[in-house]
Amino acid sequence: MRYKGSLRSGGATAWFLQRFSGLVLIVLLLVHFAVLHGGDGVVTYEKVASRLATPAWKTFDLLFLVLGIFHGMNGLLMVIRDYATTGWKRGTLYAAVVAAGLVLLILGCLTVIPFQARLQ
Amino acid sequence: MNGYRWHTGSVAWFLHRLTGLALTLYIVLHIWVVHHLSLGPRAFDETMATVQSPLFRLLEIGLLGTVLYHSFNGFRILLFDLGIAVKAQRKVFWAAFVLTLAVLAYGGEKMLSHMMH
Repeated sequence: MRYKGSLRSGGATAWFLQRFSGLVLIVLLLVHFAVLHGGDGVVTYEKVASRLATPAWKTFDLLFLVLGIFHGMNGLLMVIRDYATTGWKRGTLYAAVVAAGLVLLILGCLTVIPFQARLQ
Repeated sequence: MNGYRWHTGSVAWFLHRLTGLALTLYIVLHIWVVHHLSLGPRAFDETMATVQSPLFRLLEIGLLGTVLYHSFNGFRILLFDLGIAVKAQRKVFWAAFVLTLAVLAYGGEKMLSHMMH
């Protein structure tokens, strides 16, 4: 009963992408931790702005953003797949997760892409 | 326990789900907090003052433990999927567990000492 319904496809791709994004996220997290907790551990606008004004960090943060959101939302889809047994319930929850992911992605992109450092 | 048999494999699976859900909730909050960057220096530093208060600093150590477990256990899952060390799955779980505690002790100590200054 559990795997009935029209939304069952994509299991293998979802599975592979979850492993792949997870592995890349570990590497990105190491850099993230080294940079943010390596110094005195205090995060200020000045410090973040000087990094985020550069294309290299924008690229890093966008990659982090996309993979992080994907990994989290794809994980939620896997949980839903395990518990939501009817196609209707599953479809609704899937749509909610995808919508939440898109909202987060847009908010994150709006933070990172147009960012320019402002003076006080 | 309650008629359900808890093996290292099922405990590892359950903890992976639990930490995964917590991290997903965290990333939502994180993206929301960081978006204050686009509202200018004052808005961002005010938000940062809240999330860098002692309470949040302590919670952040919990976050480190959560992400460490999810990373090490995720790597363990990846190894098994590749057919590596499947027969040693219990040992690999304990290795992931000990690594989590070790790095948590190292990172937690650093974060605590930042908090004291």
